[in-house]
Amino acid sequence: MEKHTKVTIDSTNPHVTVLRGEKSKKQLKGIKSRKKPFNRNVNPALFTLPREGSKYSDFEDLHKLWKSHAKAQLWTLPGELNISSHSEFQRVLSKMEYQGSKIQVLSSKCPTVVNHSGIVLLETRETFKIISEDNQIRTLPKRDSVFLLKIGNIHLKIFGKHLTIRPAERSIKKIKNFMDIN
Amino acid sequence: MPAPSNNKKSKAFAGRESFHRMNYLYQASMMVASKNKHLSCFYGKLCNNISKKTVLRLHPDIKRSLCKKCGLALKPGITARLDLHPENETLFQVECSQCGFKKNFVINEEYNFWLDNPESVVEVIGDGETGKKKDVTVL
Repeated sequence: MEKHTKVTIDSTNPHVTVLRGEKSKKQLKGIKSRKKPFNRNVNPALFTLPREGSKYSDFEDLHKLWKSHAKAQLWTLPGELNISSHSEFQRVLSKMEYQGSKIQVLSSKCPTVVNHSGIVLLETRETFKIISEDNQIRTLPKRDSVFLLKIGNIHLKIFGKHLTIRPAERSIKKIKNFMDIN
Repeated sequence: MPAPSNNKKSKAFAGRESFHRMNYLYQASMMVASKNKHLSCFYGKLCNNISKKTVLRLHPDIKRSLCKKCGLALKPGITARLDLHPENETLFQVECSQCGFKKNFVINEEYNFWLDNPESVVEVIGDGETGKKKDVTVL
């Protein structure tokens, strides 16, 4: 840690009050104890994907694999969609895996993100990381955005705010009716 | 794949979605391992975490082909190194190339998994028409 040094500031503005002096030893101890030691069990490189360098064509196989996964989840029988009850369909959708799917942003609070599309590589609690066809990786915020998902000939609109759960916890959580959206 | 006539049976299969999801994640992490190690780590770790959260057990063969520490799919020659233990020759070692974690296994020809035993299968869920079956076993 850096040593705290005395700083003199000439404050001509009478409204601003500046506290001078070093922090006491008790305060410094508190800061030190808050710093956690490096956790070896967590891989530091897990959540970092370099923005450039990976190719879109590498992950087309992943998307093919995802298609078969989605069909196995939604079509329990070939040709028959188990859409018998709407709540059942939503329950299956919320427990599906989204890494590997192709996604397009329909609308979002963040205007620079709108209309981007690509294959989802990583899912965190608040964001999707996608790779688009120009070989660049982008992060999309889930909250306040609407996604378009295509499975076969079904087009689904997904409101991102319902997916703001950690991906591992999504498979346990019981959902309530999603239809109450305005 | 439940049959149309026995809808009751298909509902009894608890954790169907989670099993599908874990299966997909395992295959994905194996597929991506040679191209992008970080992603493979992430998928493998998620596969493990889901099994922990939903209390559904993975088969030991699947569990052992993912790194215990970082979740990388261990493909010998590409992402893992197989060797005998340098001091004890009754062990063999698997070393992860991402995090360097080493795991030892005892070499014993007489050892068998309980799951290889036909007595371990309690019931079989599935339809006989397509021949696809899912075994429910007790660990």
